[in-house]
Amino acid sequence: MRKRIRRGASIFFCLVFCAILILGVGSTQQNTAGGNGKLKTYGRHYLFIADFKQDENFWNKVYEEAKKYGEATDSYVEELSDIYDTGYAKNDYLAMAVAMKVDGIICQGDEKAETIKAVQKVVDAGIPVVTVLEDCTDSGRQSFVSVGSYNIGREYARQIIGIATTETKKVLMLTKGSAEDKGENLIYAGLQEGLRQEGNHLNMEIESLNTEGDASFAVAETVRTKLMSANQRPDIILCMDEQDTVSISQLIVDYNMVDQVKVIGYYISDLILKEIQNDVVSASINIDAAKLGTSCVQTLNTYLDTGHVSDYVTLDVNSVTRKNVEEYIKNEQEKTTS
Amino acid sequence: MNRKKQRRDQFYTIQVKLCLIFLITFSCVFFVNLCIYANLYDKTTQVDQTYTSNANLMKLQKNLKQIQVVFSDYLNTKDRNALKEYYDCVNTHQELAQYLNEDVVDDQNYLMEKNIKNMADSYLDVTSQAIEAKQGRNIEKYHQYYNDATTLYGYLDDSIYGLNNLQFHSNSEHYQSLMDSMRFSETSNLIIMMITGIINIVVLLVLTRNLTRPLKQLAWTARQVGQGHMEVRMQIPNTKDEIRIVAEEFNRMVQSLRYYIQKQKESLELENAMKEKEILMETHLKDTQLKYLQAQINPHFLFNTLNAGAQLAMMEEADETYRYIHKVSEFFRYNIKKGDEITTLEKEIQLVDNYVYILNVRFSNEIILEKQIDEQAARALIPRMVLQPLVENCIKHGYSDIKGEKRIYLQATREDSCVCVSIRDEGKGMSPKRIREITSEGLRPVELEGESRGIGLDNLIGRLKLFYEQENVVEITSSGPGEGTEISIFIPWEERYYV
Repeated sequence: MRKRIRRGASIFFCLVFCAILILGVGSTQQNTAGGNGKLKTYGRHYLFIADFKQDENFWNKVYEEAKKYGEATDSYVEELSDIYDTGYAKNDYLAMAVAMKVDGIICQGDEKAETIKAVQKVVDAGIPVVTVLEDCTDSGRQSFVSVGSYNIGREYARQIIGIATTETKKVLMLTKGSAEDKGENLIYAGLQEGLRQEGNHLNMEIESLNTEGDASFAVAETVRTKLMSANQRPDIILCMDEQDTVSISQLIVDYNMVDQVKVIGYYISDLILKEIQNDVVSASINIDAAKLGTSCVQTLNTYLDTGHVSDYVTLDVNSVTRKNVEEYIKNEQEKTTS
Repeated sequence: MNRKKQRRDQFYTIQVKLCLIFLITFSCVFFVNLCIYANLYDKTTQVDQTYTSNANLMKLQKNLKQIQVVFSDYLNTKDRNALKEYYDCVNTHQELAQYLNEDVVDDQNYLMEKNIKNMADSYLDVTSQAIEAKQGRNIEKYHQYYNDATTLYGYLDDSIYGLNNLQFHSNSEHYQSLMDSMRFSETSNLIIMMITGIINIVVLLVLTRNLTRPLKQLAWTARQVGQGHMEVRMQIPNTKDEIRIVAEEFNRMVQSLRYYIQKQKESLELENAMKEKEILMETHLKDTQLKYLQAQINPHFLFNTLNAGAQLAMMEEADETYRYIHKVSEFFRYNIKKGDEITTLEKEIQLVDNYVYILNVRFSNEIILEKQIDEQAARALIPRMVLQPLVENCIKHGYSDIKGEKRIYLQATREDSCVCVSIRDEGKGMSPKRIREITSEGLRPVELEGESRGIGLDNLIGRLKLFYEQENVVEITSSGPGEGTEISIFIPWEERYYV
């Protein structure tokens, strides 16, 4: 009897093994075939428009965080620059967004008339717009999320005071915007105010160098000319974006002027952190891209949920210097691992 | 309950078992084939549909282009045909666009479908407004709408192109993975079929072993029984099918066989015992008969008496009487001689001579014996008391009721392969029927003492057949009643029958 049961069990297991084998191989093949599976659907669709070419790492970070936060709050944040080979301008994307009937737009603003007009058109179509980092002041945008240009100026001032001595005479500020760029004007104002309040013991001249419209790599050439001239050589260079920070720090190293010229950068990337550790860059303004991204989606969500939102959402700004760079790296690693 | 069990037992026949085995293995193979077929069908369908999305997008793009063309034509010419074609194209677009995704999903391709669908709707709204403006002759407005529509069409065309590229890339990857999967399927299906085949063979072996093992045992047991080992017994299998019945019946059959063989043996033994007893009884009877005869004639007394008579005759000088008594004495001595059953033909002839002499004394020389004896024939061995009874028969039966001379011819001649001893009379003869009766019947000892001629001859013929180990040893010939009778004895010319 026991033998019969054992034999029956053997046959049963053989057949079960056969079935498992077939189903297993079948499902493996299905997976190999790469079906799309079930897609997750979202309640809202936002469009993210920014000039990625200008500060790719920074904007990527902002977008990724916005997207991540959006997914957690039933909103999908889309970015279109990879789709179109033609490289549409911001206004085109805004026009497309209207046609696409998206639920909201996160847009790096500017003060150009056509941008203001395009944003207004979007707002007129009933689509809320949140500008990020740079505002589009005269448009009907719903909110502006930024660290606050004035605060950035104050932070630049604090870093200058930290590294300047009585020998420091000249500060070179590399700007991007036009004369009417309210963001850069505010930075400049904040810088002046900071130096006036906290650095009145210093006697230095702030020179602004607008590099907008220059050909690629031209900024480095212009700065090199200034560095080579003893009369024009600045003691401190203020960079307003990541690209300038990297290229100027490299220039300083190339011409062996690390001890003579101090660089205060903008944004934190791995390369910039390395330069801070090597004392090539004295400090770099740290804008929390993750916070910026999440705040944009949060603002849009709030507007769509409640119908109103603050005109300005301002985030804190700080700097990474030689003193706190190690701590910053450690914190970032902890965030990544968690 | 019992009926239920019986019905259940009846269900477990070999046929049902074989059907179940076939069903199990067939189901296994069928299931495997079904899975493989479904898998291949799914793959083939997927391959077929790989670039369907691209084709659909191309159709959509082409149709939108046509809309833009006829829309422009209408605004330029206000041609009714262009307007009709515009509406046809819009309808076609609605049909094509219904398959596009409308949801916000976390897949770039599907999301682009949603964007394109919405952009196309916006574009069609603008074109529709432009047409309305054209029909309302509002030149400025329809011009504005035309520009907007053209811009939107540009976005739309680029979007479709971009999505087409994206889909083509993902479809190509999908196609490649499908092809890889198909190749993998070919190998895996072959392996699955092989494994299934092996499992089936194992299952078949395991399941059929239950059926064939009792049959093998039955065959072995039958062979053992065939070789005479009747004590073997087949182990009854623990099944409920026909094999169990066959095994039980086989055991019963062997048991019956054993019983009948035993019975047969006992019967044979009994028969043998009875035969033995019969023979013994016959022997005893013969002994009794002999003793009886011996009791009747006391040979010593007879010989002494006859010898005394012979001496008396001699003393009285009665030579003829002496001679007669002497011959009688010799005759009886020969007849009752013990322990010597075989004699020579010469002695037998001498006995016949004595007998005829004694009879002639009695019957006044009526009997004439004419002899013709070959010297070689006289040496032949012959059972005792053969010729004298034949001569006696000639006198008693052949010449009964015949008065006068009775001639008897005795011949013993050598022939090619035998010696022929012939005794012939010229008496009453014998019918062919009577001859047949005498020659065809064997020795019947019970009737040995009978007086009839036939019975005496039977006895004699039987003894001659036994002695010479031949059937045709005696021949009786008679031409018919009154024609006399001749009895011939053929003694084979073999050394062992001669002295």
